[in-house]
Amino acid sequence: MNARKYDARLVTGLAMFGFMVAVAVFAPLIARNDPLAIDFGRQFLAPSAEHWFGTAKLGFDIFARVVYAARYDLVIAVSAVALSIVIGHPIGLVVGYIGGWIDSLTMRGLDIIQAFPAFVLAIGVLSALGEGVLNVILVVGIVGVPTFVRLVRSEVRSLREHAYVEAGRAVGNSRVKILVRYIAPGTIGTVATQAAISCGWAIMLTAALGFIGLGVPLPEPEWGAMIAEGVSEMVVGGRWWISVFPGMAIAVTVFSLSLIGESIADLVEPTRRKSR
Amino acid sequence: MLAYATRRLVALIPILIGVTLLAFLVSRALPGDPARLYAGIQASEAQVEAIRERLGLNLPLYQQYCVYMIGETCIGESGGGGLIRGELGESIRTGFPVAEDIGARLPATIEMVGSGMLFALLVALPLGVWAAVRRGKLIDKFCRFISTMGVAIPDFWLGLILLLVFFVFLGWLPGPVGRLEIAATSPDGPTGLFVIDSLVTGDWATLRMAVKHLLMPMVAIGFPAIAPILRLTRNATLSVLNSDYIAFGRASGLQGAPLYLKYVLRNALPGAVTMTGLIAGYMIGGAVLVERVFSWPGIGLYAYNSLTNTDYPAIQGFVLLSAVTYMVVFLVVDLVQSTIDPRVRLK
Repeated sequence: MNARKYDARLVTGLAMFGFMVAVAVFAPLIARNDPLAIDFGRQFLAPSAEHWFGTAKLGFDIFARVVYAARYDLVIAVSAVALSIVIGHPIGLVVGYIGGWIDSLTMRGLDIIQAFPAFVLAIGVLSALGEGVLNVILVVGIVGVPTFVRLVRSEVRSLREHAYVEAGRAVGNSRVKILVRYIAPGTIGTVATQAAISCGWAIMLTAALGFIGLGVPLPEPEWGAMIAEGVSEMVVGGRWWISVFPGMAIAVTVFSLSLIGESIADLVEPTRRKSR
Repeated sequence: MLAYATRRLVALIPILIGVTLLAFLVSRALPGDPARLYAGIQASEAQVEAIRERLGLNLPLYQQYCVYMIGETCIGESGGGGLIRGELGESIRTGFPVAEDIGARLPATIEMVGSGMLFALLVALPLGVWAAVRRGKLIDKFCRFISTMGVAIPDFWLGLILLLVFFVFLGWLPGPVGRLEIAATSPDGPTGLFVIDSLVTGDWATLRMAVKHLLMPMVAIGFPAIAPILRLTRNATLSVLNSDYIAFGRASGLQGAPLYLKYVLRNALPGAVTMTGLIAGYMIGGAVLVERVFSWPGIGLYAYNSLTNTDYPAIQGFVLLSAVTYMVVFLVVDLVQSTIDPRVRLK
C-alpha cells in the first residue's frame, strides 16, 4: 500500500468538509429563500425547481433550512470540541506527567462521568439547564472532556519515559519547561486526530439532542430538529423529503470528518498503515 | 473467578456513590428552582412548597444529599424513601413512582437493544474475520467503507429511512405502532420479551407479529454498532494471523474453518467483548431516539415523553438508572472477558 492513497482520502474528506463549511459561510448566497419565512400557501410541497428540497409544515423551505442549519451544527460542534480540548488537554498533560494521587483522583472522577452514557448525561444536564445554543455547546463540550484527558494522559505517560525527555531533565530544565517544550508538542498529533473524530461525534450528539427537542430552539434551523419535524409526515403522508435531506447533510458532514480523522491518524502514526 | 468478581464488585462501590452524587448535584445545584422543576410547570405555589419540604431543599446541601440517598431518617424523621430503597420520586406525567414506571418498560428496551446487539455482532464478527483474511481485497475495502459510513449515519434517521422503504413504499413491515399491532394482546410469558415469550408458549401468530415489529428497530439501533466491532475484529484478527502460533497451526496442517473459528476468533474476541460494553452504553442513549421513531414502548420512549412534558423526576430517574445499568453491563462484560481470557484476572 502506498502513501498516496491516504492522501486521496484526506483530500476527499477535506473537500467534503470544506464544501459544508462553504455552505455554512455563504448560506445567504446559496439559499434564495428565507429559512424562517412562513407561508401557509406552500405547506408540504414536494421537491421542485422552486423548492429544491420541498417544503415543510408552515411552508418552511427545506433547502434554505438545511443550508442555514449548517451554521448552527458546525459552529456548535467546532466550539464544543474546542471547549473539550481547552479543558481536557491541559488536565491530561498535568496528571499524566505528575502522576500520583492527583492522577488517580482525576481518573476516578472521569470514571464517574463516563459511567453515564454520554447522550444520557447530556439529556440530564440539558434538561436542567434549558435549551439554547450556548447550553448545547457547553454540554456537548463537557461530555467530550474525558476522551481528551485520557488520550493526552496516556500519550504523556509514554512520552515522559523517552530518552530525549530524560536528556532534557538532565541538562536542568524545569518541570514546567519539560512539559510544555518537550512533551506537549508530542501530543498534538493524537489530539488533532481525535478532534476530527470528536467533531463528527459532536454533530451527531447535537443532532440527537435536537431530534428530541433539547437543542437549538425552533424556528431556528438545526438538522436533528428538522428530522424530527418530518417523522409523522413521513409515516402518515409519505412526505419523505422533510426528514431525508437534513439527515443526508449530517451523514455527509460526519463522513467527511471521519475520513479526515482516519487519514490524520495514519499520517501521525505511520506504523498504523502497515496493519491496513 | 469468584475472587475476581468480588474484587470488581467492590471497585464499583465508590463509582456508584460518585454517580449518585453527580446525579444529585445536576438535579440540585443548577440554576433555577429545583422544587419548581420537580413539581412541573402546572403545579400551584402550595404544591411547589410541599415538594420543597419533601426534598428538603431548605437544608444544607450535604443533608439534602443524605435525604436523597437514605430518606427522611437522615434528618431524624420517620418515614422511608431515599435512593437506597429504590425511591426515585413520582412521575408528574403518569402519577406512578418512577422506579415502577421504568421497571414496567424495561423488557421492551432489553428486547430491542439485545436483539440490536446480537444483530451487530452476527454481522460484524464474521465480516471482520473475513476482511482480515482477504486483506486488501474487495471485501476488505467494502468493510472499510461500511465502517466509515456506519459512524456517519444517525440511528434515528436510519430508522426513518427503513420505515420509508419497508413500510411506506413496500408495505412489507408494519408501521411504527410499537411491539405488536394496536389491538393485539401481549403474550403471556415469564420474561416480558415478546419474541421469547411467544416462542415459549407456542403462540406462533404473536411470534410472527413480534418479530415483524422488532426487525426495523433492531437494525436501526444495531447498525451504528457494526462499524466499531467490525474494525476491531479485523485488526485483532490481522495481528493474530501474523502470530507464531497460527503459523505453527498452519504448519501442523490446520486450515479453513477450524483454524479460524477455534484459534483465530477466540483470540480476536476479547477486544470485541469490551467494545460490546461500550456500545451498550451508546445503545441506552440511542434507545431514546429509536424508540421515539418506532413508538417502541420502552424506557427510551418514556424518557422522551418525560422530556416533552418536562417531567423532571422521571428524567432524572432515567438518567440515574441508565448509569447504573451501564455499570452493571460493564461488570458483566468484564466477567465474560475474564472467562474468555483468564489473563485479565491477573491484572
